[in-house]
Amino acid sequence: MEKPKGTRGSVWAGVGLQVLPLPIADMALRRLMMKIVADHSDSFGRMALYASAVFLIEPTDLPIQFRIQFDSSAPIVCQRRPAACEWDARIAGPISSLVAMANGALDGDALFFSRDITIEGNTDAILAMRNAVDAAEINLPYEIAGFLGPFRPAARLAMQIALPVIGRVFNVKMASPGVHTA
Amino acid sequence: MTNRSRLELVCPAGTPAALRTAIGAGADTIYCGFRDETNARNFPGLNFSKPEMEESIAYAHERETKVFVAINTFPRAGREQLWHRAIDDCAAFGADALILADLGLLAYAADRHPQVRRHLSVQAAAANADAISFYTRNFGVRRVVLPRILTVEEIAAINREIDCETEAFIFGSLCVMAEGRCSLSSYVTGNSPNLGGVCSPGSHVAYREDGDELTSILGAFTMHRVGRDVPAPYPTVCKGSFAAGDFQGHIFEDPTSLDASRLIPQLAKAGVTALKIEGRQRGRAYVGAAVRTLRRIVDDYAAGLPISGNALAHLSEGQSMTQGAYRKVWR
Repeated sequence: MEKPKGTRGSVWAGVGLQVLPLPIADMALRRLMMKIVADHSDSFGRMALYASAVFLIEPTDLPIQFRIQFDSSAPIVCQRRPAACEWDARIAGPISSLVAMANGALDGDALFFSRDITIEGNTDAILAMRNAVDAAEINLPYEIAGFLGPFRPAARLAMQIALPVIGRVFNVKMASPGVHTA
Repeated sequence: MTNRSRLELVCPAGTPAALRTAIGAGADTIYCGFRDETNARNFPGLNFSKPEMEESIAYAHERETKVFVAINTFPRAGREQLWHRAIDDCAAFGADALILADLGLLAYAADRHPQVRRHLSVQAAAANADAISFYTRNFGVRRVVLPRILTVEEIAAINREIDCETEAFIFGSLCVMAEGRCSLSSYVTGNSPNLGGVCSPGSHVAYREDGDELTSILGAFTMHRVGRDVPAPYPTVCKGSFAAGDFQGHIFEDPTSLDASRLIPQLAKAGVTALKIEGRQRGRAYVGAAVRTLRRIVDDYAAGLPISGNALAHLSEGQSMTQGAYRKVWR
């Protein structure tokens, strides 16, 4: 397992977020997250004690931040950075590391030890979220394809073409959206 | 090229997902625990519910993989039922062994479920042949997980005198204290790892960034202050950096991890039956990488091939590795 290369990944993600208006990205992310949490309710039940905790996720190489609160009607809010925001727990790092960690491709502890990511605030809440996400075996390409519903066949085709490129950019293994690794 | 006996690779799982990952990566055996204070890795969001444990044992057995369940904390007075139920559930689910430390639990398991193998947890800190023989004679213990304070020569001496199997840690986070008896974390946090299952609990851990400096804190005490390019340590007292007289630094142990993979031939010769990977609290990426790498090394050894160094330092605390007490140089 190699360490991620954040720079190229951040460029791609940054371009994507500049092309996509923030309100649309915000709405799409919210709906995607609600679907992921609903589809993996057993796994996310592991962090029931911290459902009200506010997590601030900061991709340090992008001009945005994500405010996450699982029991909120708006469980994820995408904001321009810096934005005033109270939080209980904060995780910051290159977008490529954060995506790879959510996808189970890189180990969160190792990213922390190597200073690729930093954490602050309620350590128990961060551990619970890390363990819940890891238990859910999230496969982001698969989740996104499922989220697109009737557009899934087209999305699947697009991802089959794009994934090898994205995987090289992020330097992580990205499974095909047709193959859930659970 | 000679064929040697194949050492059993015992691998960690903190979730059913990690269990599946470990089996896919080549684990012979999984060890795991319930999501409560009965096991010594009781971190938030980790471990197995009872239905998950039952399903996971069945999943593992379908793939010819064994499951050992760690019930290796010490019951709180008046609350023994929680630990007894955990043992009863494991027996009902078909667990291949119970990993126990407490004398009362060993007696309970031997009395109520004699058909289930009993292994002695590292938490029992049985570090000599007389102590181990006490457990084998009185509770029918079939295997002992050796404390990480023994040299290879001491392990060989123990194995010559005992009549049960031994399991030795080969990789992962390193505890250098007499496990099950260490009170450092209790002193600082008020919570006992030996009763509640968490050393340096996250509820008492804080990280503070000030410019390039990262400070890690446990309870009311600063454990480390490190600069930008220095690996981030987890704030345990035994690996903290302190001032004592004219000395400032890691008084007990550096923040480093165990990698004894190069000692597999010596451990096999010393009579060890199984090699254990630490890390139930780690994610699937760690479990997959550690199990795949050590599977290859153990198989290479069994096939008579030379053992190559592994490349797992990036997974470890301190980003550095040690052979720990196996190669003790301070005596």
